Amino acid sequence: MKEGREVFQILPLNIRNILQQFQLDMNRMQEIRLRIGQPVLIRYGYQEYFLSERRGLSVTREGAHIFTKEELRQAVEYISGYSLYAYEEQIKQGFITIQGGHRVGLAGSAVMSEGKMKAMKHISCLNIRIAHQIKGCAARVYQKCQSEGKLLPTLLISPPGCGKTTLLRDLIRIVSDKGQTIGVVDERSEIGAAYQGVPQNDLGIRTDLLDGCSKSEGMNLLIRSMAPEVIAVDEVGTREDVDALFFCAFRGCTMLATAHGKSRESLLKNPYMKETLEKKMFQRYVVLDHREKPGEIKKILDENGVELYA
Amino acid sequence: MLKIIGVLMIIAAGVSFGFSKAEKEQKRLEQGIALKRMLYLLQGEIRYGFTPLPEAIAAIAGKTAEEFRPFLIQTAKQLESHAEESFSRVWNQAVRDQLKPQIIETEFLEILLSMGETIGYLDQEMQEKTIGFAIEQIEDVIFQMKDQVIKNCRMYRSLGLSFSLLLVIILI
Repeated sequence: MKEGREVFQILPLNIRNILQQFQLDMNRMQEIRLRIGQPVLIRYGYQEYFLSERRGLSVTREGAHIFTKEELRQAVEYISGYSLYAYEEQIKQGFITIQGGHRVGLAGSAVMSEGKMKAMKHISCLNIRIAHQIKGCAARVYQKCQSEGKLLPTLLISPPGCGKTTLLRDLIRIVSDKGQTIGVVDERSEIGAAYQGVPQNDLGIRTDLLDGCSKSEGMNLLIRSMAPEVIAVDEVGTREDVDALFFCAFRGCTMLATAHGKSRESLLKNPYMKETLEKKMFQRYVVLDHREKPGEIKKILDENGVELYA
Repeated sequence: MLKIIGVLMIIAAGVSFGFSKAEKEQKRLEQGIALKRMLYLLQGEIRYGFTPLPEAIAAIAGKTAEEFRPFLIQTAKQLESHAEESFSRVWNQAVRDQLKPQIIETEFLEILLSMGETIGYLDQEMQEKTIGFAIEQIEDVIFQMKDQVIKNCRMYRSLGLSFSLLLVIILI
């Protein structure tokens, strides 16, 4: 249970007991969905199951464990380390990243102030997404995205849940170990899974991690302070992100980023990302797919959209 | 000769009893100041880094008076293990296990127990106010205690000597 140990720790005691009783392997677990008054749903080995008190995992709803309000209260206490105040900013974005880089999505009643979300009360749904570190998964991608041992500006494109952060993490490790200094802005602590400032995931020997900082501010800060050859960020797409990408690119940094999308063309719908395509900021586009399992590479394209690898 | 040795021993015992009582009285005050310092550190950790409680408590353990370290270490370990459902249960248990045998002034214990009931709840401002309120309460107790402690110290020291002298006179 090494990799998912942190996830096990945040679950309410009843659910922990069921998982322990049936010795479910946390490494095979991808997602746990908890909703008050509803059965607990677990994505395990790429298939969805009900959590059953008698059978562990079950494909039928009968005998499924129903998630209670008290269990939710317990889970929220564990997720926040009994300190919801420490996650005020993350909660405003709708999720908390826990130790190990696992992401817990939250939904409930939002408290609004001047048109913006100020806090969330009455949390009723949790979605725990288990992060996996797969060393070597980006080796083939790296071969197509480098020239003379130097990474080319690369954008990983994928719909949610297709393993783009896992691929990005491994790509960072490879680039770093191959000899390039790389600065990582890890806004949501998902890439490095830093605990008290130290990355828990292997990001390579030449990696400087800036954890918990906004992407736009972090990229500017890294350029000034750490002089990286490559800058890596996850999930870009806003005006501020794209401005910061251009700021770094103009200063000679190679950009490595990820964005939500189904294809290179789908980025055209985002006016800011469209600009990166038109100005040919990236020389490689890696498109991910979810045909059979997460992390499958659909295609790799060059800056003109010409396919290099299928 | 034996009489003189006996007299000196009685006086020495009386004086040391008086001084030890005075020292205990002094410690009552010092513990209050050390607790106040501990809470200031905790408040600082939360204010400066939005640090979650298990991490903040573990961080201040090394900077706090030695006698309170086991309390902070037990609390941080218990919180990290996620074995209890609420912060207050962990905090209150550690107060009873580690601080109750140490702290002389029971009012300090009550202040800490009451703080444990509300900390961790709502936003950062609320945490600061909760800890700030506990600090104020400790300050009040210290303020009320200060004059009393000075008087008591003087009284115990002189009583120790006076009683021993009285005993010597009676015995002779």
